[in-house]
Amino acid sequence: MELQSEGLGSFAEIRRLVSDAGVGRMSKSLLRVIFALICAPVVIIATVAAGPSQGMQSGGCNSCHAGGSGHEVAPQLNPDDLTRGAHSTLSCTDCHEGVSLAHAPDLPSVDCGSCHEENAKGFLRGVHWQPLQALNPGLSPCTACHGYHGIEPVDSLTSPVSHLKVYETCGSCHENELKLFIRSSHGDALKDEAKQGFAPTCVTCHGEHAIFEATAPASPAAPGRQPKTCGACHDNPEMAAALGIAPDRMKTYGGTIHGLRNRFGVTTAATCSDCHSNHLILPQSHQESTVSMASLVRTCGRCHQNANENFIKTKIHTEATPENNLGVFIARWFYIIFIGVLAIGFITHITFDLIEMRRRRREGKHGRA
Amino acid sequence: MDEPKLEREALREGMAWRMSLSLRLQHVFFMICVFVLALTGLALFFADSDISRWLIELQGGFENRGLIHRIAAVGLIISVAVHVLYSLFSAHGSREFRRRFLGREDFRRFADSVRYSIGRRKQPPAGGKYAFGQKVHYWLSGFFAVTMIVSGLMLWDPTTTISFVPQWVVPVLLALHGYEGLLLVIVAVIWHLYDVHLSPRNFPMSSVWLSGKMPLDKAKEHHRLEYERLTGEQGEGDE
Repeated sequence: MELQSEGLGSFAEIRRLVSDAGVGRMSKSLLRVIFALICAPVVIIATVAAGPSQGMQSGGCNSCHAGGSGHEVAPQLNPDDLTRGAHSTLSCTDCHEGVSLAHAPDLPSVDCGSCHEENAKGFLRGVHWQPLQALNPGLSPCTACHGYHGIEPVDSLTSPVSHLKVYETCGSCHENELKLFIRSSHGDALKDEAKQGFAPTCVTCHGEHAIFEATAPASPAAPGRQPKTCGACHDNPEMAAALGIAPDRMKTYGGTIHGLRNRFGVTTAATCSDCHSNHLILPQSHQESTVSMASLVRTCGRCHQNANENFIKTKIHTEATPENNLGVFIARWFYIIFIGVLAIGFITHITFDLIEMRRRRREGKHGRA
Repeated sequence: MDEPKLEREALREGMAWRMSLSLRLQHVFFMICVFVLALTGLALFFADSDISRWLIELQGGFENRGLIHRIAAVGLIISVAVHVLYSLFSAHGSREFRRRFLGREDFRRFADSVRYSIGRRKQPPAGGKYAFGQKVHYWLSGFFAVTMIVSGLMLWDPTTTISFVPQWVVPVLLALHGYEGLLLVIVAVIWHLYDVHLSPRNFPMSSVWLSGKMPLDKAKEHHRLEYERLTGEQGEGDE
């Protein structure tokens, strides 16, 4: 199939070249004959060299591991797995390095890092490699999330780490988090075709490969980094407009005492997840939300013992406008104008002062003269 | 305090006595508090700027900044309280306090001094111990100190405040306290800094705040009525 389609491409190319050279009047059948003569040896040689099997170019491995030869040995691989996915052009020994046809039953585990160096480095810094290695001692820990044989690229819908699938993959171990996440606004968005492009998944907040404890400073979910991580979406005006949710969440957080403290590294400062929770993030209108009017006394009260019904009326995440806080607006403009008037007064004062002194000096000179 | 004696002693040195030791100490203490409050306050007001970042680091971090600001605030409250008590109950203090009241005369003198500045008048108006600008400065500083103290106390522990006041109050207080602080730095520091340091007639510094005394020739020029009172010389009148 591949070769045929390549042939058609070449045919179109030749026709274009021929017509470019001014031989467009040549008959079509003559062109086809010439083309066939040129292509025939190429097709024959390529077909012979490629042999009966394509894809993983698995040489002799298939005779035992991919069925049909009469002396099948476990593991039996699905022939489809060898011809699809990101690794379809690799041969078995590219991953199973140094393995010959006659090999012991247990193969050494695959070192994915020999190609995916950066990802492996990050992965080794993170928290996952030890538990995953303990889980499947004979397998590369990468396989726990990415699978093996027929590994799909991340943008493929069937990949276990694709945007729409990765939460299930993580959830196969992190069950409690999965349960909460699928009930959250984020989980809802992921299931909604109109919203899923904006929806975050596990890796959006926790990172990939180099995944740390959420409290570790290097984690994007760490308190110090949450404003940036959550802000990547919640300060995005396009997303706010498309989903009909409030914009500028981080900008309005940054000016509050929580935001300022957070910015200056005060670890006790409330950050996004302290009020909005983490996996089960819900809109304020939702009863179960930690920021619903019914829950706020409790949520604020986690830090502020004096949180009461009046306390929670304080608006947060708002830019002062004449509509929502006229007082702030008036105070601000009063002082800006006051400062302006004083600045003008100050300049006038200096000017008069200097003029007066100059006059005095001149009069003094005249007096002496 | 034997004021006439101090005035006579100063006169022998060719100086006009102006500030009691108590007032000088009050002034220095007030000044230190305002400086610390301004540096810790503006660092928060302009928290986005690099200078603030540096200032906050210098102040030992964000939490320490707040602590220092509150300590200096206590100092300011004490200095204002001391000044109020001094102005009400000490003989010298209450006399000086009354001399800082603004009267119609002050506005007339101010208008005359403007006329003189722009060349519409030959002689500068004869000024008392406190010139118009000094009086205005004094009352503005007092007014701002009180409003800053009141708003500052309400913001001392904002979470307690918001548990019983309407929700718009604290944001308004924050805006008021911040912008008024900025205004104070512009008025009290920059304007005052010009008058007592940068102005060519005082450069590099007027020493009244340290010695409490002013050279007689300067007193004659700027506070002629006070000069005449001290020396007993008879003035030639305003014109």
